[in-house]
Amino acid sequence: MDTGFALLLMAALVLSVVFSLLQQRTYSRATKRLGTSFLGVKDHFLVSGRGKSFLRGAIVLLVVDASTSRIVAAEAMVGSTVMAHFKPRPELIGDLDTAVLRTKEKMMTAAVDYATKQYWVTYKRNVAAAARK
Amino acid sequence: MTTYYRSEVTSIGTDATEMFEGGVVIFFGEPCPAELAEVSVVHTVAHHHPQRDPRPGDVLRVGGSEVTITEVGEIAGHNLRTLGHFVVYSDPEDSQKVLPGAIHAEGTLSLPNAGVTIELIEGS
Repeated sequence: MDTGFALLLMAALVLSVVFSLLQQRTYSRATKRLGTSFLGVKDHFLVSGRGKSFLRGAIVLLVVDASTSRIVAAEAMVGSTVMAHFKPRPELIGDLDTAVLRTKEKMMTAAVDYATKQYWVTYKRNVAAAARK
Repeated sequence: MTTYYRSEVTSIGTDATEMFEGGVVIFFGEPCPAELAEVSVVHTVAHHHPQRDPRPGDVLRVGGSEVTITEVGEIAGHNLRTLGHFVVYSDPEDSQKVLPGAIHAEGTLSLPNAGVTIELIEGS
């Protein structure tokens, strides 16, 4: 293998790891910010989902009120760069089961669909755990 | 103008700096779990009027910087009394609805050092 190409490949891999770590930190900070903004509120769940296309991706954070199955807060990070940040997505506020219909981009649809499924899995686990008590 | 809440900053989380730059500050009273302390300004309460919760028009002063409160989430006052906890969103976008434990404010806070005083002051 050409040495120049190997070095380029190595640099790309290192950059990819650095970008992933930075995005992971952004995600972690956003979940803590949103989670603490709902601290003390009963029956609310914070779930997330991810959608990816070849070059771009979307991560959504949804806060769902379990008593009404409604999304009460929604944020998304959309884009391909490390500069992307979570921003409010007011169009997602409302009924959880129809939230995917309120998305316009394919990767957002996938991310919201994933988060919705995650919510129902988490909700059922909680119901099952409560029933065991 | 009366100060109804006073506390002292004891530590600033390593990730709190970037939160500040994004216009968000998470405050937590001691004791604070380590995973939340990473993103928070942790403080110890010195004085709190038991029947006075933050309201729009009040001033939040942190060291030498201050912001004016514009909106208060429905449980922000309760969280402040019980946990010393509230989340300040400075100059939020119009589309941003105030979250239950959050406070919206006009202006920008600067990153404090440990030992700095946090005050909530009644609006005029």
